[in-house]
Amino acid sequence: MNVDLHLQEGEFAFLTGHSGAGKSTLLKLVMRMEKSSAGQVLVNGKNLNRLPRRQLPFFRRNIGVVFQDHQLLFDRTVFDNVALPLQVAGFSSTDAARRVRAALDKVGLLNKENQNPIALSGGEQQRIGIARAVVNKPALLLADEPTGNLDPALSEEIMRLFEQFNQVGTSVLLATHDIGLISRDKYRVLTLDQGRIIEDE
Amino acid sequence: MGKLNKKASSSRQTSRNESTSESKTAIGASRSANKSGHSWFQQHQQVAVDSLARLLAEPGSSLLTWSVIGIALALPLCLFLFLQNIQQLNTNLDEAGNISLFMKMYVSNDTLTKIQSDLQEMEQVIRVSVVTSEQALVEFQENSGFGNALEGLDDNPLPALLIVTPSDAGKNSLSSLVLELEALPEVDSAQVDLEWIQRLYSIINLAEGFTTALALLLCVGVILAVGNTIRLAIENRRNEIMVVKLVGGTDAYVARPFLYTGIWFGIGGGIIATVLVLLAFLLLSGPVTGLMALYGSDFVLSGLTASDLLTLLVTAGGLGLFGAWISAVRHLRLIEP
Repeated sequence: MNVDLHLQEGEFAFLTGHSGAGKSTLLKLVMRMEKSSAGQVLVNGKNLNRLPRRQLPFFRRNIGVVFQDHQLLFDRTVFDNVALPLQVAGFSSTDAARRVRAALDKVGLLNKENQNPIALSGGEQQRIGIARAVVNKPALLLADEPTGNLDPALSEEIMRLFEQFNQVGTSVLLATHDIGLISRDKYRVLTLDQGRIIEDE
Repeated sequence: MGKLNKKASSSRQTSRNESTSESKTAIGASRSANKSGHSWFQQHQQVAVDSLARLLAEPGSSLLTWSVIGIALALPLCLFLFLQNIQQLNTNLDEAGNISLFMKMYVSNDTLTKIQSDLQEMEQVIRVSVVTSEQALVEFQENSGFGNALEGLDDNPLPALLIVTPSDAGKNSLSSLVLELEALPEVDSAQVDLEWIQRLYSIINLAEGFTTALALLLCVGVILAVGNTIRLAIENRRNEIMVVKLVGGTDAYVARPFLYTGIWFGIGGGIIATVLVLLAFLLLSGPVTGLMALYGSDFVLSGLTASDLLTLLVTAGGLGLFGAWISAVRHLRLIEP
């Protein structure tokens, strides 16, 4: 793919296009899950191609990611799932607990903290994924089809969450092919086709 | 779009112009985490407990691995204990390797004393004690029960005796020392006491070398067994590792639970090895004591001491850690989101 784009701090942008247009690849490039073969990816002023392997975890702690299949771990509680980014960053357990509860409260699932996520509905699981992505207060939030498997009402709810995070200063890049989600909004929309940006409005 | 701000701008550019204002931005987004020693210790403790709980949650397969390690450790351990016990014979039978020099009949007590002091000068000799023919006769009369028979003889038929205790240097060249002493004109014959024990020692030395080689080989076996088990554990938790790496877990963080698992495998194996050795000891100590009693010895089979046990557990834990480390370094690198 070959794109030239710039996302400002605190910006909210949609990334759209057909399947295979390169939405996920673009997000993966920003996460350094994939390395660009040409050109540069700069995130927070850092050239990801020159980021040493050892620095990668510390870089990723600044980015929250929401996956379509939410990537929750079913061998632990909702609380422990959300606490994971804090655990790996070495937060003390009391500090972590406070932040986890705040994040769960924000997505409205504080009462489910002791349940196993496998017992929850798709929409709830997605919200736990979102809580995990934001618990660390990342500067940038990436979301890959976060509403992919959800009905319109739930999608709406999830969208509102992302907007809330954006309002407190988090940059959001949201990949989706859900046109309904995009059309009613006033945000920047990047349309990808075959690895190129064909529209930026 | 709004003006370029200080932090958290994400961009992908194909142009060659690197935005300088971007490259100078501060890393403001990273929250300073609580890195206090307390938290670090807490985390290690947590991981250690969690990995043990994981092993205990699957007692069947864990026990299998523990047994493999336990048996591999018990084998050389038993051999070492066996050798250690035989070496205890060494100290019990101090006289082993003494050389008895039977003097010719005409040698007078004065000459005897002179030879004694001459021999004591020798480098290969620690000590020389004298048994005159008179003393030998008394001893013989007391011990043999032939006292009355000897009274019928005109002369004392027993020769004088020098008992030579060789030094370590002398022991190593025992046969040449014996030849040298035998060549003395006053000496009738020389005889090595309990020569078979000397031979036994060289066999023990050989066995020790063999046991060491076997122990090293089995240690490698333990490392491989743990490594392979850890490889499977990593494979089973692939998804979790992926997620942890995505939310910013370092290699060390990801490896930690597996390293603790390795330590637990090692220690558990060490415990099983101890149990096996104690069982073997219980089975053997009765018969051995009985056997040694027949030889009039108060020899007691010595088992594992507390410090042996500690060494065993530390070594086993270390082997487990090493096996897990090799495996974790190799396989965690392959899981790269």
